[in-house]
Amino acid sequence: MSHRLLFVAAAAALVAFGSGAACAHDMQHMTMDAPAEPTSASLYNLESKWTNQDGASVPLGALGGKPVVAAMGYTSCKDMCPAIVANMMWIERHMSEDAARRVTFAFFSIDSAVDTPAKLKVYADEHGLDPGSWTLFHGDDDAVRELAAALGVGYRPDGLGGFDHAAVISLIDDKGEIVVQQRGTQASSDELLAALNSLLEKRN
Amino acid sequence: MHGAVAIAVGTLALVAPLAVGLAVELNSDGMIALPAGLYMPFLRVRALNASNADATAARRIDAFRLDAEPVTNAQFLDFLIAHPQWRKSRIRALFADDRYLKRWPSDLEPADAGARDEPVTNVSWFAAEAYCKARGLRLPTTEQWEYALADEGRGRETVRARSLEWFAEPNGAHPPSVGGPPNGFGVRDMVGLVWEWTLDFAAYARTGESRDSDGKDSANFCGGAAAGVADATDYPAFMRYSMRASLKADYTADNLGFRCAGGAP
Amino acid sequence: MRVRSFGSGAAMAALLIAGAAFAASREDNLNDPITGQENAVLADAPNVPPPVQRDHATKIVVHLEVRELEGRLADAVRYTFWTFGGHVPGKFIRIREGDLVEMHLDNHPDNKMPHNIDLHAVNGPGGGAAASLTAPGHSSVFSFKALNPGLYVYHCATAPVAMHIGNGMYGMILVEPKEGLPKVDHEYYVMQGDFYTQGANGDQGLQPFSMAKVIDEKPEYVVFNGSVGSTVGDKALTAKVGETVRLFVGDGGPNLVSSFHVIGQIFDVVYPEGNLAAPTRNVQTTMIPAGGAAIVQFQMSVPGTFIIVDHSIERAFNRGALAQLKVSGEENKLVYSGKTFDLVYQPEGTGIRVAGQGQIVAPAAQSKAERIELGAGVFANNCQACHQADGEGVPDAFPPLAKSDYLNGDKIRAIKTVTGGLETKLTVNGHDFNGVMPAWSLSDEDIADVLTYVYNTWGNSGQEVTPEEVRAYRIKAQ
Repeated sequence: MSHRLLFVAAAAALVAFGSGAACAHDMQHMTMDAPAEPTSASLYNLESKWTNQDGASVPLGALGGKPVVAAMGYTSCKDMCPAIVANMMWIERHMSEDAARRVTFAFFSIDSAVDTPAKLKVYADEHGLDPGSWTLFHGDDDAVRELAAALGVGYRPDGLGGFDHAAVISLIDDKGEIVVQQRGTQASSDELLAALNSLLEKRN
Repeated sequence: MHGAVAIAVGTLALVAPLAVGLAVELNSDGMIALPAGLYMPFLRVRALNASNADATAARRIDAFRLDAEPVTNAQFLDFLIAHPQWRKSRIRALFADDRYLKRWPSDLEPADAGARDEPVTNVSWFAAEAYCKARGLRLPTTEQWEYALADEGRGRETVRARSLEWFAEPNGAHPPSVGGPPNGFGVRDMVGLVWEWTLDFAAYARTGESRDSDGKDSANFCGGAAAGVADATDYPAFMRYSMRASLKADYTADNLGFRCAGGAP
Repeated sequence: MRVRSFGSGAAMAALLIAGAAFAASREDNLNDPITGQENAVLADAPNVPPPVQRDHATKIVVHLEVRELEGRLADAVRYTFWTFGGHVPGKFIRIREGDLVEMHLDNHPDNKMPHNIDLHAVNGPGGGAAASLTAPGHSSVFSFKALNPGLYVYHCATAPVAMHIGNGMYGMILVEPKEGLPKVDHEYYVMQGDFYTQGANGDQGLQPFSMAKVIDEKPEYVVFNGSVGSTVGDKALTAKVGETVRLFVGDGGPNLVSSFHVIGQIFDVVYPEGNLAAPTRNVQTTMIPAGGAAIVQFQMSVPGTFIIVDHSIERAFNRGALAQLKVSGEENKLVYSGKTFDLVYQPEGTGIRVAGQGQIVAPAAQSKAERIELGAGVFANNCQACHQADGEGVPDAFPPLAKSDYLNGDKIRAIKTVTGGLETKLTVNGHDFNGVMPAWSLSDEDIADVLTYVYNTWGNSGQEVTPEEVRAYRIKAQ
């Protein structure tokens, strides 16, 4: 429990930092010797443009330099997306405060029509997602399709205004390469958490 | 309408007879204008709480343009000349697996002279989509592709028979060249040469396991949907959807090519 | 009780029935610790990998490579098979209960089709199919713990499933109990499957798959181990008198159930449906469900060629479901007198000739007298059912051969009728007949023999028909 309290405190301290996520990541680029050109298998070869929950335009590559725990879903999803986000929060909770701060939790909406940045912001607040470590992204159809292709996330409109989509949580290293993926909401996140911790240890 | 139509296909031109009386609109870019129309999807996907009526309804497809034939090696070569980042020596691992353009001995060299008119194969979804975008086009959606194949019900048995024949033919070193007979829309070589990428191939990821008719128990997939099929005896259609389901966007395969689509003219 | 070697299958059966073995539960197997790792030893039919020698569970790595290959379905009949490992049936996998299997499904880049695998030995959705859909040129990996001992079918479950199975995508995996299986002298792998070609049975050339026939469940071929005659002649299974033989029998389908039978041999022990916990004894024919398996075991008492069939007998004689087990050794006249008749056994359409007591090819007649003698056998096997033992036929249905003006008038016409069949009205000895005589797939030798027999019996003209005459007619008819 004290772990949780510490985490909240740390999050509060980071609010200012998180509100300018793009700038913050750019700074990390400068300081963490992220490669100028993405590696061959890096997701950051994608040139798609995204907007975060604060309305700032963010190229995908701006996520580089830190490990990222990423998933795709949409905010009006009542079925399994809450479980995806809950799994990501579980991972966050089971890390040390220090470690969690060195990770980005990224949620990419596949519902480009409905999930405006403002809507994403409301969703983040409602779920208590720490803006210091969480970023929620809105992109156009092309950006969504391309990222989904790269992450292996199948999706399709369900005919009722929502989507069927694969529940996939990806661990991406600081270069943008996929390390491990957790498929299915009932799968344990232990493996992904262990891989994340080992990534962070290597960086130490 | 046309006794014979000259079709400019990339760097080559060929003269192909079309059946007299076919209302085929062929643009100078080798594309066919397909009219809007109704289409009964093979795969009937619906939300579990949707009504049965929704599941069986025909789908309306807007008018669109589609390449008359799969993209050939010669056409793809033109693209590579203009877009060096997609050459086999330069392509990023994110965008294609190790067999990308496997039959090409070097960056700007399709296998041999005869290969120029063959469909380009061993291209990933990313590469196919980049090619289409460079032409101001997209890959066709699965529904557009299937609509073009369905051909308003014409030649249904021919399509099935040709598909089954192709399945049974041992794999050759090269796919056959493009230029087969046109269907009623004027579209060629939809079956019998290569599988083809579609824009949203990943939307059908679950359907390779054909016995899973109730998606609700699949924890891998968010949202409840039931998938039925329009005709359980249509084996080639099952195979097409299974093939799409087996793919990932960076995959390439010896028998996998593509063609491009665009909006209504 | 942990015993690895038993004196006989019967003794093992008695022990099993007494409940002495197979105490391991699913939970035991789930918790059985994994020690070490090894690559699976796989085998192509009719062979099976050697018994597991380990006394602990391990991690077993299995690589199954899917190949789509043109091959022989029957003589002069080619077919594009889809295979697990290059042959039909697929590679036999042999593991121990409690093992952790790491399954690699490798779809060869030359293939056109996506494939997956459903192993009936798996507890999990799709039996692995959901985790293994694989595009050409790619591999899928998943693992499972072998919780239940038994003999299990595996197959491709990619839509359309009946086409993937119908093209040969099935095989078997044996999950041995901890105690192992009782020791036997020979173990063989036999798997039945039905094939649906566009051409009729016997139509030559590369035959495409028939969607219509598989949907109607009307195969042109029903075969053991992937082709007509896969397991006959010099490819027959072998054993010696006194030895015990164990057959791992599966039925891939896609549609037909097998009534598995070995002619002239009672199964001492059968593990029905591959269930190792409840063997039964003294079985004549055991049912193998499509997508199911059984283990049958028997000791050879006398020498000879034993014919393995699907006792839905039309399939054996006309569609190819026929294999051979050749047994050498001393006669035992008490068990079987070996008496009297030495008929030529000529299954129609399969081209397999079996004479009793281990002879495979009937001797060619050296004289007219021998021809008549051999012809009697051919007649009994092929003609007698309609034309009757006395050659009198059946009024209004089957014409008489005795004192037949139709036969005696024209020898070439007789040859034509036997080789090519007859479907017209004809008059014999003043009576009209309107039936159908099938074309007989008999050798020139057999046709010469049977016609000579007929011409020299029941008051007919006494002439001889030679194989050369039959051959000459066939050439001319073409």
